[in-house]
Amino acid sequence: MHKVLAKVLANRLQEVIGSVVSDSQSTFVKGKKFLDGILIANETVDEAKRMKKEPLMFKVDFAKAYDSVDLNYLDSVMANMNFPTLWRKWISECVGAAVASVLVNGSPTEEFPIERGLRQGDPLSPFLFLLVAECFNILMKTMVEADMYTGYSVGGMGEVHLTHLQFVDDTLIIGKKSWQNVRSMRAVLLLFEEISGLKVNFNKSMLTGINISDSWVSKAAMVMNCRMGSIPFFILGASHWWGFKEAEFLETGC
Amino acid sequence: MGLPIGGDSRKLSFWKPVVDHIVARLSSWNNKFLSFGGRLVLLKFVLSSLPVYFLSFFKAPAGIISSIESIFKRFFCEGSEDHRKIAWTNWDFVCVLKEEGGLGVRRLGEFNMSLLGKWCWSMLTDKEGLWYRVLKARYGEVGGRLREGGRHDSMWWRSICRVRGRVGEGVGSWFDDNVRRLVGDGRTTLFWFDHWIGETPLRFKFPRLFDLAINKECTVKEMESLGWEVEGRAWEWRRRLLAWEEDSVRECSEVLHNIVLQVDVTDSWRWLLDPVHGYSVRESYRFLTTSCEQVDRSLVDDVWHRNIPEKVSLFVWRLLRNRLPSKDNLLRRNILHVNDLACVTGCGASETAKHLFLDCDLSYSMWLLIWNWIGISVVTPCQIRDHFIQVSFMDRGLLAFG
Repeated sequence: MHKVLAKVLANRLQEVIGSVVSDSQSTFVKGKKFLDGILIANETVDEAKRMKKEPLMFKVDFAKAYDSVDLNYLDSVMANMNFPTLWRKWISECVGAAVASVLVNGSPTEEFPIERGLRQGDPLSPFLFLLVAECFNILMKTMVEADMYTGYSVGGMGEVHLTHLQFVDDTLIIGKKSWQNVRSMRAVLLLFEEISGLKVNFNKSMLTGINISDSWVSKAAMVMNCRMGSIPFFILGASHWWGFKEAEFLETGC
Repeated sequence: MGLPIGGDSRKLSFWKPVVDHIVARLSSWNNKFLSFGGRLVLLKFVLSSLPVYFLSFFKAPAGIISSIESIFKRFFCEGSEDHRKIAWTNWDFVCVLKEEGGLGVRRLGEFNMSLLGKWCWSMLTDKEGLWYRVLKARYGEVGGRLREGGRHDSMWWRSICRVRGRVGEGVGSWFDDNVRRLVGDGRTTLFWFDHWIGETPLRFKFPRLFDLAINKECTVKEMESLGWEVEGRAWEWRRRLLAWEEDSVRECSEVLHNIVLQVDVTDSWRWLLDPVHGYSVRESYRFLTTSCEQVDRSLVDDVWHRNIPEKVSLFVWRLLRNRLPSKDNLLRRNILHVNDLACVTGCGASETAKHLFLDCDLSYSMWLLIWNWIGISVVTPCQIRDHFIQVSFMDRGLLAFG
């Protein structure tokens, strides 16, 4: 029953998701190809290499991205995006109504409601996650407007400014080389964690510079408390989303 | 497996993860216990899908394509990895589409091309996307298309341009030839650049006029409203025209004479291979691989039937093409000596596929039994192919009556 309902809701959400999610998100949005983001990232890196520009790239790794989404927060995001109340009720019924119990020493504990996390394998989850990730996008935009963060501009004329690319839970932040940017990145990520419950795994995240000296990058990486990456790096290893096991899905009980 | 950002797709090391992935997948299959049909299925639906993610973004160098394909070949024809066997079928034959009598295994090179063609198509149709704006900021636009051939172009962009333009692989400019501009109100169609009338864009048809035109990026709408008759104001030249140039203006406006713009229809692109749905990878792959040879349709349709197991179908497929290890075939490959050619049933004749399945006493009496069982008497044709057609035809007849 839940499965059918979730699919129906997902199909409806899919129709409108393009209008609330911004350009930097390239997956699961109708009319956008999965590879668009890859193309942008690839061209940016290549251009920087050829034109001797100095972009700074930070690949963010969210720890257990889907599992740690705060559901109350999700609801308020939808409220701010002007989703109707009835719709929000449906969603929260669908996502938040689940109860779980844990087997301790072979006997199940008392049932408790789930407050966090989107279920993997639920057709709704990717779209709801997009809504959550949209908040990050707004944060970045505000930072740029407040002059606290400078994006990377592509091309000689500087028409297009890139600040970040999102592939659902894979996020790539792109910016100019500057200490202020490094500090802002960290601030934004911490802020985002506070709001949405998505915790950044700094140990697994990667800071990469192009045409930037290693010593500078490693110093910056130290400030960020993350690893230093090198070119080429891999992105969008979508396997953890597409490769979910049917069994896991069934166990969540629908 | 993710996609590498900022690597060089010409290098072998760039493709190493793909090749490793395929080899790793292969090693877990125990080929000894797989039938030909089973291997075909694994090859078509598992192995050849593994590199698709990479191929839909990067142009693979010919060396990589051939080394991946040789892994495929060894898996399919030779089975186990440790010792070599006879390749019974020509690989080119295996790669032909099923509708044309092959086995329909993907050719990676052409498949790569058609996947990249998708980018060319979206470059025409989806100009709003962020990715297009990034490309535009980087390369600039000329004549409604992104500029190509600059010194600082990325490898990716160069390979896309090669897909789009003329390629030296015998297909010509397959992409440009299959794209047309459908003119509605003419507001967004470029008069000289877009391929909207005739066989080629007007700038190729009338190169001198294009050189002399002052406004090269004017739209069809602008030209039409200025008037494109011979004396029309649409023709503005950088200098006075010579006599033969006047002639070509006349010729050009004759071409345009019958054009009427529809005010309430917007211009759009059309993909000739599939005018309704637009670009599809499948259609362009078909276009790129289709040979002109005539196909024996009856034969092709009957081998592959959904009620027949794949391995049986494949066996018949091989039989009809005489690709089974019958003794005469083994002799031709220098595996058997001439003296060992006798049929296994001991009837004394030499063993060929035809003998084994039709002429031999044993198989002949089998056929008689079968005819008896069905309850009809027929003359058995003496060629395997004819025999096959007869039986499958009869089968259809029985189904119709039954």
